[in-house]
Amino acid sequence: MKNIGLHEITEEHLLGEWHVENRFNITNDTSSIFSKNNRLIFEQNSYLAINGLNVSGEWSVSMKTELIYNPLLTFYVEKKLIAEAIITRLIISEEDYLNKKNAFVLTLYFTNGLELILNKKS
Amino acid sequence: MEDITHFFSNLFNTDSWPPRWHCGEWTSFHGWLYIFSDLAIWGAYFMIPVVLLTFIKKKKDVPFNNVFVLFGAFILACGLTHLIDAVIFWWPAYRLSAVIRFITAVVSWGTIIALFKVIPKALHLKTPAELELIVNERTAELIAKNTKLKELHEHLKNSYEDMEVKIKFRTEALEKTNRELVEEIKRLKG
Repeated sequence: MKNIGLHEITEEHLLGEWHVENRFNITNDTSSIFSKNNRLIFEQNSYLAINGLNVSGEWSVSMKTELIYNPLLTFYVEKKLIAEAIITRLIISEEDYLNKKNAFVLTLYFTNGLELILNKKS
Repeated sequence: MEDITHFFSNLFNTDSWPPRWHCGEWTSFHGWLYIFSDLAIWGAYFMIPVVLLTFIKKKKDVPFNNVFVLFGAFILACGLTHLIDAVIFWWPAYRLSAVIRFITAVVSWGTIIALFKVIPKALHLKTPAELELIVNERTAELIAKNTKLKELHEHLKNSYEDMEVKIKFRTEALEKTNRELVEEIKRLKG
């Protein structure tokens, strides 16, 4: 298990299909798609949140402010900002040393207090 | 009883016996071999308790050191029987010899009884190899616990840092929303 430094996180790390491993919703806000989805697929410039009904749109990653050094993810649907989240942690773990298969765990924290823990296998 | 009184009142009296040199036919070689060997045994038996006592004195945590003391006394008494055996070639103090032998017998049996009492306890003592094994096991346990503690510490530190970031992030988001609301109110008021 190794933490990937916040400044080392690139778009490449995020691309791919992520499965929701855990969700902490302290505000019980269920209006956001991210409070219900079970998968999240990042592609170049677009994303797809899957939960029976699919929601797709654009996304981008940038560094937030001078106060917060965490990368900021912004999600849009039809050019409209629908959610913002920071990456609090990206962990890589070598699950299978022989096959060199890596597993990633990504933790996202949204402005509404929702926390998503996602995993992806390379 | 008379015999006993006579015995002890003449403990050092040697009139009843000739010196051993004159009892039987000793060749010079045979006699001196006997005397030299007895004296050598006495010398060695005298040194063993000295070494044992020095060992106990220097290494203060020796278990069952009373047995060591008894063992030292036993060897010392055995040595004295050899010394008196050599001396008897010139000074036939057979009564004194008998007393020394009796004392040796008492000390010997005392040592045996003490050993029987100590052996069950001594069997429970750990050998250096067993102690090393225990130390190694405890060390491994401590290392494992230490590693877990470090991981826990790291986890708590990360959680704390995460919490700080989350608070800042949400505060910033709320401030932004607040600013937007104020702007909206201003805009509505015209």
